Amino acid sequence: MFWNYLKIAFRNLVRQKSYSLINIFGLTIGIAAFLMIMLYVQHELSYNSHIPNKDRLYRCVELQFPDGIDDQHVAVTMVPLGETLMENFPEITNFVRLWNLGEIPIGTRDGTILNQNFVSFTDTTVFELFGVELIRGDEETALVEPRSIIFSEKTAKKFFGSVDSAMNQIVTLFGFEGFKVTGVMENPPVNTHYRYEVLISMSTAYDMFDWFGGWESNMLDTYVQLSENADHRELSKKFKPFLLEYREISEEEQESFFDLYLQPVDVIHLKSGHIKFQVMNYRQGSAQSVLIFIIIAVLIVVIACVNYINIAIARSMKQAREVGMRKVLGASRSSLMYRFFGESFLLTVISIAFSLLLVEIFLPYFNDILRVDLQMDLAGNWMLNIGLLALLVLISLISGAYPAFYLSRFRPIKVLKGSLSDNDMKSGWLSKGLVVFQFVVSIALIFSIMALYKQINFLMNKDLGYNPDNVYAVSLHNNNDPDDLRQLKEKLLQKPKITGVAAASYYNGVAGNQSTIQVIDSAETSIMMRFGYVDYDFLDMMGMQIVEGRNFDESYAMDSLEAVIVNRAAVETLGWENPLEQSFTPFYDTLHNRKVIGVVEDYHYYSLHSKIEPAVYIIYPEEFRQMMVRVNGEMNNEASEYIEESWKEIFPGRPFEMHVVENLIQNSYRGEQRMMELFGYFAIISLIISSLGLYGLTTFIIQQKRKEIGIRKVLGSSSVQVILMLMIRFLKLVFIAGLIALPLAWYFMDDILAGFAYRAGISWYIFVIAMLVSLVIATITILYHATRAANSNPVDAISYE
Amino acid sequence: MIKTAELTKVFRTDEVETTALNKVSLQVDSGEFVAIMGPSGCGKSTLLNILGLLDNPSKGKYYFLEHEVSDYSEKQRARLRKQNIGFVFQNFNLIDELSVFENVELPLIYLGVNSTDRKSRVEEVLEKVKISHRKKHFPLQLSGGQQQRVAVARALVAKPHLILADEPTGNLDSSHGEEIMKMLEELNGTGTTIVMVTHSLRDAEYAQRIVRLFDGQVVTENIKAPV
Repeated sequence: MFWNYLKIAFRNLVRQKSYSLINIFGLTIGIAAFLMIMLYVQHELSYNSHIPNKDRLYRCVELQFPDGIDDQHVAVTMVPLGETLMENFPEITNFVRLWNLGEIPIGTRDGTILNQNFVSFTDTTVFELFGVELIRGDEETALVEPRSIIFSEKTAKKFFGSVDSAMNQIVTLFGFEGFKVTGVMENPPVNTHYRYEVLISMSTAYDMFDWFGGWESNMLDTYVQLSENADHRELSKKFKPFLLEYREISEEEQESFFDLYLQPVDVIHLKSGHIKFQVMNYRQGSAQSVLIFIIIAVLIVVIACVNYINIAIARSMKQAREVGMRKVLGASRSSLMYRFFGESFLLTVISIAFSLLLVEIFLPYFNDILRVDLQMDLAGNWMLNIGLLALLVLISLISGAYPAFYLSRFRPIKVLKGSLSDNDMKSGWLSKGLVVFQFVVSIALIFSIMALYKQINFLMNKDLGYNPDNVYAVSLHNNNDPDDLRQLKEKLLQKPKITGVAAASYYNGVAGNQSTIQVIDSAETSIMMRFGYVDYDFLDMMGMQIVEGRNFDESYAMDSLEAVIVNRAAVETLGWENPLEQSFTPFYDTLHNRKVIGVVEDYHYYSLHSKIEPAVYIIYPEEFRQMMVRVNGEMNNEASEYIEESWKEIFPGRPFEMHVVENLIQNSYRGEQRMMELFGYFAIISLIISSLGLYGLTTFIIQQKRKEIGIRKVLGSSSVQVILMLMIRFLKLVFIAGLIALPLAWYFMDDILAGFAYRAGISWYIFVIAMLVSLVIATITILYHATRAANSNPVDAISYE
Repeated sequence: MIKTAELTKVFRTDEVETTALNKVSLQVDSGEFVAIMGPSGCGKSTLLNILGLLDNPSKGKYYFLEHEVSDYSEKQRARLRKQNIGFVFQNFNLIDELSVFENVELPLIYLGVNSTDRKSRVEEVLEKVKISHRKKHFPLQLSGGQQQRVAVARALVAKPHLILADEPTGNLDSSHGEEIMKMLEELNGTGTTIVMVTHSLRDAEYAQRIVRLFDGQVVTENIKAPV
């Protein structure tokens, strides 16, 4: 029986070729888009899933109440925190710390030095708590001794050619010698929030740095493992009172002392948007965008189903007669329902098969945009299989439901007599409503990409307050000996193409660190400031404006020790009327008071997501990490080769690395750019599917309206009048869709754009263009049928019904 | 008013060539009421369509109000048609989505008549066919006879010189049919030319002249005295 239904369904599909094509095509791209998005969502939700006992592992996060700026969440903690907590709270059974060094030069015995990213100090508990597996070496001992280092498989091959030859090799780090390779670990999974390629024993840090180990500064990640039934929220409440007592915090400082809480590791990837500083959150995602992706995926599939339903409704007049006839001949209602479901089932199976092919083809491009490596692993991904099965059942049911339940209900006599009219079927409203729904989605998506585009464009073109054009950043790593830097600078400036050279902690002038400084005034005001380590030329070379006082000047002997420049935000936060009469004591050098010699105009040192906060600039060569080189006009090969040669001459054997500063700035907006690009594709897909639906629908509706068109023409209507009449009928639906979609999309985008401290705003023309684009596309879709209908001979339509 | 000379219409499909009209020559004078009769498929409706400027002949000449229109474009035909011809069909051909009033108003809209004039003219003609009490109803809410009266009103509203009726009583019972025929007769009495295709001898009795078609050719033309 089942095969009989399938056979009939198949014949129907073949007979109604254009109708089947529209449905299969729409469903195929709809399902393909859905699958790709869902693979991505699955990936996003899988972060840290490799961690054993991940439901018991937590990251320590501080909620700080700094002076002068807003409260901030910081996932960077002090060195002794983990151990202290474990000793004092029985709920905590273990802890691990990770101190990220970022990218550093590693040298092998044969003299090659290569830059290596994702290098961290860590405790031996990392094996147990993070599930790091050694393929060479012993977990018990590998990270115990100072200067023990382990490499990932990939990195071991990079430095030593093979895993086996890596063991027991001696390497240099930052020029420090005597690090011994004690293990090789499996490559870290892609979906980990903490990426590690090289791990160094934590004992090394205690051994090498005298200052390491105190409560002074936040510098590393602390993770704690709780006992099985411990409640992390309850535990978090106990931390502050404990720390106040343990660290003997004075009464007046207690209120502003930070709050400490635990964040479950499985939410770190998606729910860390509120955290201002983290040691690492590799490719941090957001729960909001995952939700948006899911919504879009579902909408696209629903739009494709709507096509099916709509065309089914349009066809139902025709099919009604067939159904009536079958009933007369003895068909039961259930057998008719099977028939319709058989048709939608077959169609869905075909569409899913094609969509798998489509995913296979397009997944690499999708991966490229999202910078991920998704695979469609039908054999290994059981969630995918279940998903496909669910899709098959759901789409077949949703699509087949209308014809199955509605048509099978018709009374045979009424249908056969032909006394069934449009009004009788009451399907007009439903199919119009469905078309409106499809266009609501499309218009909302068009609106959203345009609003995003405007915002990103605004960010890219907004005056940052300094001039990063044609500036290149050469990474210094640890090569910041003042004499070497001076030589490099002089050498570079000999080239006429190079117009400026300056060193700093980072191209934007400020480093990641932030600290409290104490103002020397009667109130002993303290304020949280960003620190910028710059040389004499930096502010000037980068085009930052001194608005009061003067810039650093080499002719003032004490500038490097006793002078600071602050930004305008600092002056405003502190409420200084005469900034040049102020001085304060920085955290790192309590011997020298620093006098304010100048005020620099606020500029956007970070992305426009965040507000400009108080910053202080000092001369401090030990912290220089980049050398900025400005060239005259576009960079050419000759100049870039000259820079590289100069580097090699002064730092022989040290890896050379250069970035375009503008690219570094734009990297901050990559997330939004990707979202915009994807939204663009989704909008195109949903427009294609909706237009297909509209095309199919016009075919049928115009067929139903042939008589009316004929009558109107007999009565003297011109073709143009008929076309206009038909256009208005359909475009009215698109227009209504716009009225619904635009306010919705506006509300939604307003919420998204609220994440930016500086907003471009949503202009009226975005509303107009989103509306126009969809109207134009709908017009093109309808025009063919409308014109054909309008030019047909009215005689054919009216007399011989 | 109407004169055709050796009017021929051939329909072609891929394999078959059908001659629907074969050298039909016919004249209808202003103020006449002519009935065209003949068996199914004899070409009655084809002839009516050509006379009504809905279709062009394959060969032959057609003079409508002294114009030779056989090779007029659809645009030219449409212009002549909407000013001069009213149609009444067997299946009424009303537009279901429009009310009685709106259906009747349609030809005036296409003629570009302004809305106040339209209103009074529609009211007037609805009064004439005694359906004004139903002007807000939709076609599907009316009986067949009422629908056909609306169709007649629509044919009249533009004050055409010629009314073409294609089996106007075909879908009606006898009493409603008679009502419609009386209406057409009355109309003819006020000077409107009427050409009617019919199967019914009783309806044909209302005409002054009966033209009989067989296999696309005119076989007889009997002139009768006015009833």
